[in-house]
Amino acid sequence: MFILKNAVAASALALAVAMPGAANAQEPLDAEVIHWWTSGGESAAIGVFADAYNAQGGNWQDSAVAGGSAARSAAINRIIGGDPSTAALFNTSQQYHEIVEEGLLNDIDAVAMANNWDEILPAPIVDAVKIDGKYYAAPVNIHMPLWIWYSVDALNQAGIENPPETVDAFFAALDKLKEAGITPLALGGQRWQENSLFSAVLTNVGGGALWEAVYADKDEDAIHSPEFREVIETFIALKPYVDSASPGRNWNDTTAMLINDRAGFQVMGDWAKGEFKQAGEEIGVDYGCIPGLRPDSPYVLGGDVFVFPKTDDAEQIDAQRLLVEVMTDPETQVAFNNLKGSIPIRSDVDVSKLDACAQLGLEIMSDPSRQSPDASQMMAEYIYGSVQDVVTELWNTDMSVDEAVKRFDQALNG
Amino acid sequence: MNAAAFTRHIRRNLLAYIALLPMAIVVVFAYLGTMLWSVRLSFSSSRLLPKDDFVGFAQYTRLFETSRWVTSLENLAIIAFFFLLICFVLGTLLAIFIDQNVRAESLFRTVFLYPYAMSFVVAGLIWQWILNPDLGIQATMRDLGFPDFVLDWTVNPDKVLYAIILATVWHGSGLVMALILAGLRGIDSQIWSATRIDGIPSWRVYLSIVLPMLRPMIITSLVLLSISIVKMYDVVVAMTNGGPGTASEVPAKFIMDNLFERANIGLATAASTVLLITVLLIMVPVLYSQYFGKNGRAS
Amino acid sequence: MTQSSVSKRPVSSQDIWGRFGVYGFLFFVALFFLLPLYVMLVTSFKSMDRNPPRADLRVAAAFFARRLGQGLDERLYRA
Repeated sequence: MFILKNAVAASALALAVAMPGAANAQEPLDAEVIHWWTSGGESAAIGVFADAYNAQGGNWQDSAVAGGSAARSAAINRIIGGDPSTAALFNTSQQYHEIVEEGLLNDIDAVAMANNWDEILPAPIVDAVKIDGKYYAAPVNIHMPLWIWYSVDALNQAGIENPPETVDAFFAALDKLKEAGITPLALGGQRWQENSLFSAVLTNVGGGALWEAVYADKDEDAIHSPEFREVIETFIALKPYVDSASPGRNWNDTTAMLINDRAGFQVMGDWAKGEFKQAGEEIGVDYGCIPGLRPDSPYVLGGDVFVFPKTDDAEQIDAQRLLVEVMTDPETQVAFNNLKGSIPIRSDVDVSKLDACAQLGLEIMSDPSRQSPDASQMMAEYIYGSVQDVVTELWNTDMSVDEAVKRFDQALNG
Repeated sequence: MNAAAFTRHIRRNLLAYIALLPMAIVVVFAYLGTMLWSVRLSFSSSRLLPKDDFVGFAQYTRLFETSRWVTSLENLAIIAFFFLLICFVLGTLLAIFIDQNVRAESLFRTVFLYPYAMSFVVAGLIWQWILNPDLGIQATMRDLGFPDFVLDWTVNPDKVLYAIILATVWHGSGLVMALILAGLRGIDSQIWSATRIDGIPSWRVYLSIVLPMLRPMIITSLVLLSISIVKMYDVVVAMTNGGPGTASEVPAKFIMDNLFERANIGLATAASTVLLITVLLIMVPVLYSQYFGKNGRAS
Repeated sequence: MTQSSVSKRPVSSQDIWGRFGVYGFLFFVALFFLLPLYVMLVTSFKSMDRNPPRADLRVAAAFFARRLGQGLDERLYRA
């Protein structure tokens, strides 16, 4: 490009860096994006978006803030302070609804309608992001938080032929693992992990209808039904299959127990794949995934979205639209989600590039009757917090089933 | 003070008052203002963003119906009682023993005081390692040939508070030692001569004469420790994160969780108001007797 | 401390057993206070390949992430 002499090297270099922008007849669309994806796999995944955006003639400015709620607070504070970023990573929880109600976001209906989002996105995702008939957020991935992972070696050692497909078979497998001296169920005793386990029991024992009746409708009858009692009893029945060192253990250390074949099963979101892949394990050879323990088990949809703060600056609005286009583009979606461990938000993508578990997930998700919203989308954060408190107490104390039912009722309807 | 005297007083100290003004403004707005603001919010239905409505004591009713809050308060009471007791006894004993003209006194002093220089986070993490059944003392003892050795405080809901108390005592008793030792050094040596002539046993001298003389030191150390225990948050997060279950939850953690994770400002401010009132109820009589009581400074 | 002030200090236990008790007490309490320091030093010199320190670092990382708002792991789930 230039022949650099030492004395002017620095300034020439600065010029060179500035060149591509100046060379373009059109100014590149600056887009500052606040997000909290800072760990290895995550930052690689967001890099896909950045590259795709820059390839479209944009100029991606990365503002990574460590920690989810810190990043969200930063985004909100910037909006209120009158200096909003172009886009920000967000969750579709109560907070999202509040900032939409406060009128802090631009809607992205133009892009959504042009790309026919109503048709191509799964219904729970549409419900989650659409407020008063408008799209205020661009979903970028679907996480299913309730996969059941297993170690193939551990199951072989315990003489289990096939991975269980029913709750009864699951308990039989746990018993066999226990006899073989392997920790049957790997659980990290942290509130959210105990809560994942409970959600898995609720969806697999109670089924999708009960899941939504209890968590979305907060229906008293459903909470006091024999089916929900059975869910609680099954949850309690899992306690003896967990090792004593469980309390406080992190999820990735817990996944390591499966990687080392020291434990049989773990209930964890699809991000656990990252740990297996890092350890050089192969799906079907070293580990496997079970989406549910009944033929109609719901596929719970969690995921991340990007929001676009309110602005009147036409250039910023263009940048926001371009970001949405780029992020939801089929090819970008596949590349991004392979790194993130989740599955693409749209079904019209090239599935062959996804791994076996993601393909399985996409296949199940194509059946709308099995799509279910994540618990965090069915209730306000403070209610969900109280529910998690009940679950963790239920797991760690000798609470009776009656008491548990009463507590759930209080937490959901209190 | 009559009017003339008052004017004279103001005139003479005008510069001092002007100099103090910025500080007074900071106190009024930054401390009192925010405190009143959060008390105000506790009577509103605020969730994510502060609201201006008024819902009476609804948040307080809800607060005391929340079993996790009640558990947190009970845990705090247990931790505070044993923490203050052990810290005070251990710290005082250490100070008295160090004051026995021992060799390597500064070494002992450093050893006992260095934990206080560490943050609660570090203290919590280290004790979490030591008490972790897979990594710490239990694992070590089992490797050494005691396969039945059990030290599972951090993972046992019935014993997890011991673990918290252990870590906080380790952190805080050095402070008591330093304060009491400073007090002991200030005791007039003639008192010792006099009691020795009278043949009074030294434990009796400490108990009946020296410690009462050290009342300001004792109260200061207890106040400092009480404050650190009421706002205790990081050590619990580092050691157990409130677990197993809710067995080691504390009020400050309840407040933080509701304020940030759960977007429940109303409940969080109600909880912090309750905590504030509790602290005031304990502290005001102590401080009052300290500063305005019969033997206090202001008399 | 100067020698003269030392002489004024109370020497409560003149006999050898008393001194023994004083030093013994201080010694054992010092051991308790030094245990975490020992653990910290030992941990920091351990090879990084071994499992425990790695787990510890994760505890620390998770903790700081949580301090910043929400647990790294929790965020993924609640996402």
